[in-house]
Amino acid sequence: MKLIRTLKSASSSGGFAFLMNKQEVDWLLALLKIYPQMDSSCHKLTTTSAAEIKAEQETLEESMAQYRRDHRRKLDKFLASPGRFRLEAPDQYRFALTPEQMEWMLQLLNDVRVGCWVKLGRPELEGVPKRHLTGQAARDMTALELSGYFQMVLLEAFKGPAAAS
Amino acid sequence: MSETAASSAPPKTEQKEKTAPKEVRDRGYVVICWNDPVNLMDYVTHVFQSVFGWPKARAERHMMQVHQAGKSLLVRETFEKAEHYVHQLQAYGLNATMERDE
Repeated sequence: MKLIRTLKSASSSGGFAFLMNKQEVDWLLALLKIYPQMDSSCHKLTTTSAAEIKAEQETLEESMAQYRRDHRRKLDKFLASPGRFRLEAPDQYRFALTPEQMEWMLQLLNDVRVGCWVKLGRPELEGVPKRHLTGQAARDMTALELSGYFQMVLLEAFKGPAAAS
Repeated sequence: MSETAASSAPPKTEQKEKTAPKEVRDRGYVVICWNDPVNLMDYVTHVFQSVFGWPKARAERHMMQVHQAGKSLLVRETFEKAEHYVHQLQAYGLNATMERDE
């Protein structure tokens, strides 16, 4: 996945354009398909006794749950848009995002990354014996790593074309 | 925080009837971001810039504090504002909480 264009003009149709091969498109779609991965267990308003702010804790959990439902719907609509991944050359797909969509995509991918990490038992990631992972744990670790890869590409693109190349 | 490495506006905090007494709310609260091994360092910096509008140098300073010291005190605010920031930061997937400033 490579940044090919950065548009500064606010009137432009898209802020960033990437070229992706088919494998990268499939990976990204697979990650977005499993969004969201985080749930209410991921959200704590405070580390201290929450008895006096029980209502606020519930509000946080409800707000995050609603937020994810809204973004799931928005994501389905986004992916259904024709030409979202436009074939430009053999095995070269163009994927364009506005700056706002870039921010949004970063959040979606981070939800998948953090949610998979929580499901794996919140391990320290360095030194995890990946070869021993099987089944769902292997899928969670793969999604965690892949979402990090796409996040890095998007974050580099925010820095500018020179950083992203 | 992982070394290998926002919509959409973050969700609005829904206003629910508050249960905490006023004297509790009027105390200062701090918003703290805690270290974890999963959020990418560049991502954390980016989130601090987006949520607080900080310049990159300040965002990076707090990110490094999280990474090296295990946590960083981001802002001191009223109960409501601190709660709002925690909602925003958690919408981005960061491990952030609000604590009484004692």
